Amino acid sequence: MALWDLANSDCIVVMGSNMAENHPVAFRFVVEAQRRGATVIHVDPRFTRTSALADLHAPIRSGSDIAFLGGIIRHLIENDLWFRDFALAYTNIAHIIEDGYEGPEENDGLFSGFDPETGSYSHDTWQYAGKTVPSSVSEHRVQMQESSKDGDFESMTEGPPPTDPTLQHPNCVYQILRRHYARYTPEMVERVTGCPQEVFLKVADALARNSGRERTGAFCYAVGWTHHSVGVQIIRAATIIQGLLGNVGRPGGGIMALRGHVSIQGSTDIPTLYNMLPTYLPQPNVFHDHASLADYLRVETPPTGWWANMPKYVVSLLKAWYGDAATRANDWCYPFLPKLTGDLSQEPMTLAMASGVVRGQFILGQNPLVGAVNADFVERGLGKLEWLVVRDFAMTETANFWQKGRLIERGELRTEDIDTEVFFLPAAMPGEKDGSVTNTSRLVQWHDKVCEAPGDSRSDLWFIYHLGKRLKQLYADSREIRDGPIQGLTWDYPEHGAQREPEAEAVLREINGYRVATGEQVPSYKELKDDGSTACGGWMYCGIYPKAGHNVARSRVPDGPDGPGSHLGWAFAWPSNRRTLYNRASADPAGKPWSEAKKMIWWDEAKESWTGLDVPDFVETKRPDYRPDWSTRPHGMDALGGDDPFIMEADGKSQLFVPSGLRDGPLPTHYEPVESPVRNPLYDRQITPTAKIWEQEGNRLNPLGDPRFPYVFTTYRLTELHCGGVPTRVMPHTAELQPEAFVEVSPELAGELGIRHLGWTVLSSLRGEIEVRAMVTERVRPFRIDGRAVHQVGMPWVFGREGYARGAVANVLLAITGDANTSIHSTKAVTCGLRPGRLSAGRGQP
Amino acid sequence: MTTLPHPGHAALAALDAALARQPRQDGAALERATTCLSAVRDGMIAEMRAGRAYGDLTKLNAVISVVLAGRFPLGEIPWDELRRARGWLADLVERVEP
Amino acid sequence: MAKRIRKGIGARVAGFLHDWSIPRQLAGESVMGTAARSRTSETLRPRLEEADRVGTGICPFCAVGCGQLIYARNGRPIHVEGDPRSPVNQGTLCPKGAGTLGMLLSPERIGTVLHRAPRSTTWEAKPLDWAMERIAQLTKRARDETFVETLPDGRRVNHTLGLGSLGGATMDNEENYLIKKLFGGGLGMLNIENQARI
Repeated sequence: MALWDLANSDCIVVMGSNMAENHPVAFRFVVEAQRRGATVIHVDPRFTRTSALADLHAPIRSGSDIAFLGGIIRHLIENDLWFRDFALAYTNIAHIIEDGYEGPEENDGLFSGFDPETGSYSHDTWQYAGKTVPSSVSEHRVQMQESSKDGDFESMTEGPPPTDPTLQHPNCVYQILRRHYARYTPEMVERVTGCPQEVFLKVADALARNSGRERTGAFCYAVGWTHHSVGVQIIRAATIIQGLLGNVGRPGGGIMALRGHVSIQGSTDIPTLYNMLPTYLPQPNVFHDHASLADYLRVETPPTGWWANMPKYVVSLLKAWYGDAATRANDWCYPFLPKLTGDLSQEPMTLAMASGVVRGQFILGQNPLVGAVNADFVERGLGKLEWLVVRDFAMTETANFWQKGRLIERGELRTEDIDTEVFFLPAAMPGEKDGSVTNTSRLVQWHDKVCEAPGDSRSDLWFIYHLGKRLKQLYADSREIRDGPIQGLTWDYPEHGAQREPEAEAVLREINGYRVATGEQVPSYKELKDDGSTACGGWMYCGIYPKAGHNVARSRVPDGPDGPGSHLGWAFAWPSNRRTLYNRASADPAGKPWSEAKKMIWWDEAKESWTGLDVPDFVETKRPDYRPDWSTRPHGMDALGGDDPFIMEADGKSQLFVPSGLRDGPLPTHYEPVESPVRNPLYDRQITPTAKIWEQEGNRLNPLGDPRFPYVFTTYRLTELHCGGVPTRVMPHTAELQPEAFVEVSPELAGELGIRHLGWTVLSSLRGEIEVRAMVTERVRPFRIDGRAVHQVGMPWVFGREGYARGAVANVLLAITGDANTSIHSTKAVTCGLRPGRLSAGRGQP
Repeated sequence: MTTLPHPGHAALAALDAALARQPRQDGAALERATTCLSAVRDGMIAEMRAGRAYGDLTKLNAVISVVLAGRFPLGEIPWDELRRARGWLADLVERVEP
Repeated sequence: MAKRIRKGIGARVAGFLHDWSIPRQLAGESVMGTAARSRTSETLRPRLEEADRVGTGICPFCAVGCGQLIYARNGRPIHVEGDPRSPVNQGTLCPKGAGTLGMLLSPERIGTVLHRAPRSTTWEAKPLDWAMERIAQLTKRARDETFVETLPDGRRVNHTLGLGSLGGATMDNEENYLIKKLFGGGLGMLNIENQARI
């Protein structure tokens, strides 16, 4: 959904986010919805400005989100409050799952398919009966070995998955959901989360009351949902609620991810990530059946749904990267692509760096000594590098680790003993370069170069382009096969001015794609081919530069007050400039809007096409009553009916139950955080059995029940200071507004421990200790969990030792762990010790 | 850079320890193996920069890739690959640390 | 003379009270309008009038994507404000976005290349060209020393785990594209990550 579409919501639940403080301008739309009568709810451990502006604040203990959301799912089902016409038609609620499926109710807190020896799941019993369902998410395909079982996915072309529309079949998703969430009663929600059940029920009822044909509700979340060992499953729990309530693909409905950096969405789409090629194509893996392009495409291309087009996107990407070198005879240079062997995401690579695996490291506008967990461990790894290049605009803790690091300060390392060669390259900032950035709702906006960067500051585009030119020259005379990729890489971008700045628009034109023969822009990804005739650097962005001289990201025509409010003339939203994904779901199965109040797109019988207030996310001319002819073994979009809105899924249905693609279970289940002072009240299993735990020297976890670490510890940002922090810590205004680090402690806990407001405290974990002043405040309250008081403390993680606003690095306390699906670390719910006073001279490990 | 007396043998021993635990992952053994392999590589690179050929280095880098995949697997732990890498490493260690 | 001074003082006090904005604000005039006017304010001009250039910016902090207008004079930024046309922010900015000018002009900003040699205790300023060439050489050497073309049994991997890159979420799509293209597609680096995962 677009950010401004939040204003069309009738109920907004902000959870896992302090939206008013951290995304204040987006929060305007929440306030606007509230003025129009919407109910605004904040579910959060702390009482923040978001809570203050909400109609209702539901406090929950950090890390208990799935218990809360699972309680809502149960409430909706048991009280029959779900939007039946929507969910029956558009989700897999009636689908029948394999006979052998068992959930945590039947299987001691685990799903069927668990192998206790390896700690991992097989997905065989999670499938639709008789089918093998491909995952639509490339990131998940990269992580799974199922993709090497090629051929099975063809079962999706044989007929629709079996369903029971009466919902009586014991293994239909509806009945499985009922059983799975049966114990998530309001009483249990209170016991696990600490939220009084009457408050919880108000939230559940507000959501139910504000959903259906005439009304829609939305969730807004940030890293308060993702930074957990079960982050993906927390978001999944919200998708189940939204699927049940019909809040997907409709005005004011959806799940809004409030992301933290200007182009964090863009750098996910066009990924500087290890496991994907541009726009969600899986990075090949040598241990999968990916030896040749044909193998890779055969096992990775889902036979049904939109992703059946994948070969066109892969071949067009290879043509964009390797140009004339890429021919049909050499598999379009597919062998050039580096193949994965394992998980190389940030957390594993931090551990590998400390083992000496990485010799040279680039750090481009990121500051892991503040932003990454277990800062001391990260620092140790930096000292093992042969060289380090940091590009930033002011000194960062990371660039300066060798002289101002914590290990140096503690005397554990001496500057004179650190072999790392370090470069600091000054970077040009926004306003000093042009280019496009993608916001959290997929809106790609161009920005101009207005002024000059000081001195030797250069854009990152300049840096990477000129580094590439030098490297191509260094490798020009090589006869080694291994140097083919750098020699073959297309790298001809026009240069301008005395500094020979490469032309950003030329790069965007390549991302958009062009016809190889004529060089003319491709107007739409529908015209991409798998025969080498088109080149395209990122198929989902195709259409952003549809013809010469037309950069749609530059367009700046907002709708007027009486316009449709989709602002189709303002910048470009991928794909195809559509603002709401899966908006086919805004119409009923027959193609009519669910209601006049909530119309978005609809079937126009006279024109025989879909039309409306947004760009339809569907085949424009596909009739609502189209049904696949299963006798022909249909592939691609032919296998989806005219009433299957979720075109990226193999059967066009939203997945309340996920048969493939998740490593930790087909349904969200409450497990305690990897560190918790509480025994899991719901199951005997304490933590998710698939969490990535990497305990080693310097990265130990605080054990359950350890009296040294009795408190829940959580971290967060501040309105004035941004993330890794250096840009805002060197801005005079923002630094003055938040000059120093602090820890928020409840009056109850402060009284118990003898901590005074603004007095010094020491926080500790097995990873390290920090000292910081206390903010004693009622914004933080103790929770009553399973009959006893559980205290929680919280601290902003944005401080460091560089810049004007300084203070302890909260992430020193955190451990390197990973969510099973994404390897994302846990920062929102760990445990800590707390005492009044300061660190002694021999500061360090407890 | 880490200096160990016989990092190649130590890496081999660590890898053997990890393989003996199959199907359970032995994170500590794999961590030890990685660190030792890096030390072997540091030594080989130093020699190579002093002018010696680096045929073995390519093989060592392959071993590092596979051992790291065992330590940080995508999906199942690639046991067969780890065993194969153990064989490559054994050949290599015989030559560099006879 | 004394009288004239006294009269002068009286007139000045009267004038001051007349001009002083607080009494008018207390009397109910809007602080956003006429009550903010004073003799000093009469002579003030908006600083953006001095600009010789204005362009569209996008706020560089969170992912909401607020539109900004950046005003510059002689190539130097003099003013940043919210873009009133943008349907995202309609002219508004949060404290971070409103402080963008302070980031661009921060006294802490570094405009030269700094280099720290192994075991050295200080940074040293270096020419950009020198640094670029040295980084290219180091990159090539590290790649060549850590590259795996095939596993010993012949399976092609074409990768290096000896080089890493971290960062991207603060940068433009075009920059991310070239990083992935050069580091991944050209050099065979896999260890490429950014803030999106964390």
